Amino acid sequence: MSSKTKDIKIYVMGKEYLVPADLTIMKAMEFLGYQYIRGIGCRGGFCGGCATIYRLKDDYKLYTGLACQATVKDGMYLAQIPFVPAEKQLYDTARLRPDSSAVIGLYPELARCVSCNACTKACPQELEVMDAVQSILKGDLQKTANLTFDCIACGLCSLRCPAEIQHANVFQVVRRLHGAYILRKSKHLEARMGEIQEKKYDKILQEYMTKSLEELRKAYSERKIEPELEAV
Amino acid sequence: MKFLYYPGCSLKSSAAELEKSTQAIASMMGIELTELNKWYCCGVFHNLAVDSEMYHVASARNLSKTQVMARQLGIPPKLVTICPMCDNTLKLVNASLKSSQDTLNKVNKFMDTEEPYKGEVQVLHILELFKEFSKNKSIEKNVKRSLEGLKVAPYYGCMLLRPKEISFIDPNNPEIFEMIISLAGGTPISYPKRDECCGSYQTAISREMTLKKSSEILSSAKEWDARLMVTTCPLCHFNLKFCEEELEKGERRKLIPILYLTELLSYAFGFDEALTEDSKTLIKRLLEKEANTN
Repeated sequence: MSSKTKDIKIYVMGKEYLVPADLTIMKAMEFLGYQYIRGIGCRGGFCGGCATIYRLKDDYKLYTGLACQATVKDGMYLAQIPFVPAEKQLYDTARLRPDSSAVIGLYPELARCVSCNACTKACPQELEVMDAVQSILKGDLQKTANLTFDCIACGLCSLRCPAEIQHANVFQVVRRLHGAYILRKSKHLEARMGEIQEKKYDKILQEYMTKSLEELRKAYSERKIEPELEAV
Repeated sequence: MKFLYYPGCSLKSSAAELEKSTQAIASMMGIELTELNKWYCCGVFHNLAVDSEMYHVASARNLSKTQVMARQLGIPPKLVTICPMCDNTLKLVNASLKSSQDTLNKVNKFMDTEEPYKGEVQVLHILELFKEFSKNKSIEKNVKRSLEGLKVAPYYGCMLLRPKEISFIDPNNPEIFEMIISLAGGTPISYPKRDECCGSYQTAISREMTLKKSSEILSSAKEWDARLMVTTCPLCHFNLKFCEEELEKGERRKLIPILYLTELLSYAFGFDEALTEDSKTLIKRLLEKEANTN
């Protein structure tokens, strides 16, 4: 017994269509014959490539989502955003200090935040975007780095921002500064990097380059795994 | 006595010494400051120059947070500020929300992720508390190193004095700085430019204008024989210090050093941990110099 899914009405860029309910926006669009050229990526909710804005019938709000994740709803008016324009500043992380003035210096519009929270409401990753912006103003870059770890740079927050902040680019600077100056240095990584630079492993690698596939398989399955190191 | 406390962005970045020294003094005077567990930039004063309720949202959000946290802690809904810019902004927004139910409703609808603000919070600048608490001699009895002989120029700036509807100081005759300096044993200097504008946020647009305004203030204080200038505003502090450094660079002339009032008071209270090495050395040097000349 096959139960047929009910069809619902949606409007793609103003044109009315009937599509099966429960499809994602992306599947629905493809079902209708649209072919994605831009505004698509991983199809798994990770790349941030398929930003969508939509409205629902009898509701004043403008909603946002990822086309590969959000499902179609009856009476939905939608449009795909192929690309969110943002200006990327050039900088050398080694020449910046890890503080608020360095980030505001690159992206001064940050100081225009009016705490409206439109960014947070727009985020398909459910990040606390406004708190991340505000933490920069307070000089707490670590908090911003942690709050934006899952940012997929879809740009939806920037489209909604009355202060014209270019969030994804701003957060990237912050995470770079955080990685370069604030995060604890991993001592065993530094030690290993030193060994590599001293060419300690060159000879072993050269030996492996001459081995047969059979020998490599054997070496792999018999490899010794180092004990988990305490984070130092 | 426990109060909720709103630091503002400057105190967490460029003006860390202001927060540290103020908290030190407050605790010695019996004022316990509990920071709001979540707060946002006040929205900054100059945004209120635009006739848009959108710019009320930032401050209203903080007032709503205060309302919630005060209820949870079972204390009166009072919010203490240290930065005069934040104080002014929060007070102006609070006054506007309290005076119009229509504006309050509109702003509450905009910040629909917060508990609606009821308009019951009172915003207080830390100097208001110092004034209140000084009535039972909590300044004098904490002074361990008197500032005797030190001629200090109090610099009020604009934000604590204007507009008069929200100010706790008589803008025509401000005296709270003078009172505090005297209680700590110092000599407040009376000079004409104590309430002139330092150039404020114009510093972002016209450095020239800010330099002109700030150097007038510094020169005036020096002319009236002050050895040190004190302020409570991070932006005034920034502008005056920048001006001081520029003058030193260009003309090799030194006017007078600038500190926060609370740094000076921390020294008087013997709370060295609240001071930077530079501030401590400076005050010590000035006091020694004064002692030697007398």
